[in-house]
Amino acid sequence: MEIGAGAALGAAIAVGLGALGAGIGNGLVTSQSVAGIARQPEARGNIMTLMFISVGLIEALPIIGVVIAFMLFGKV
Amino acid sequence: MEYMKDLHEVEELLNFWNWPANGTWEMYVGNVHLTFNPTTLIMTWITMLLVIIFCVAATRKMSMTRPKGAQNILEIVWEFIRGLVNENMDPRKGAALLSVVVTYFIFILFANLIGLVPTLSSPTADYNTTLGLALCTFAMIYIFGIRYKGLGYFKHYVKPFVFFLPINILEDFAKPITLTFRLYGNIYGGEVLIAVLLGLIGGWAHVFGGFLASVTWLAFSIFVGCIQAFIFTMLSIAYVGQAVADH
Repeated sequence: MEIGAGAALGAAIAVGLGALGAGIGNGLVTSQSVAGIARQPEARGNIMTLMFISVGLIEALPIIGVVIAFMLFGKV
Repeated sequence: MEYMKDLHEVEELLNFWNWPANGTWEMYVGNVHLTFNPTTLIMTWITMLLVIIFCVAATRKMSMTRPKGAQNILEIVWEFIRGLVNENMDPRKGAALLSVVVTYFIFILFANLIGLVPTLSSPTADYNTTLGLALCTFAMIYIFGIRYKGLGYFKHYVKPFVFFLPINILEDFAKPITLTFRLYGNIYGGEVLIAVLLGLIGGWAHVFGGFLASVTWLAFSIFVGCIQAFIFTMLSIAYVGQAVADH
């Protein structure tokens, strides 16, 4: 396999799996936070803050995967 | 598809102000050869200038009873961050931390958003800038821990059991590393995406620093810039709060 083909495959797999993980993780967090707000609307401020923090934490590693994919994309 | 350009050609075209390329500014400290990235340095200076102008404008002719203009905005930011600090730790211990984290928030917010102006790039799109900020947080965790707990702070490495020692050491190193790469990845990824979109459009798209591609991606980038500034600040507060907490 040449370098260009390997780099293209590597970039696509990195982004794809990263997006899969981020999507599932963010979906779980957001659904639980919506359920929490539905139960107790007064806690909305706290729960929304926690939700944004969690989304930021979860997205950290998939974003690193995207940066690696861009680096590989330059070698195609 | 001859109009699809390579990423390197796009970056060449995007260099509107003709700043020197990466690694051209050099300095010798004793025997050590240091190279700098002129784009990052110049943009950091511009960001510092904007933060200083904003804060000086907000604190001239301050009024306790009828604040106006920039003073209002700075007070909103200050009270918001003070709420976060008071939730996470004892307010008396957090008083010393408050100025530093408000500076983090304002600087990182301005740094992230300035990259969206058509010909400029973010200083936080370079991992050296974000590493510097994360190392400041790393130092603060130890300084606050030792200040409020003396040398007994180092006992946290062997809690709850002795064999947790490697895990705790790893956790202490993972904090600045993840802070660095989270901020760098989000902001640099946004900029590279603008370059990639330009490579696809071709033709005159690189006029005035890639204005068209910037516009398509603009709203999401503003959102990501604000969220990442908030998360960096919030995590710094949480880490220092963990270090000074007593059970």
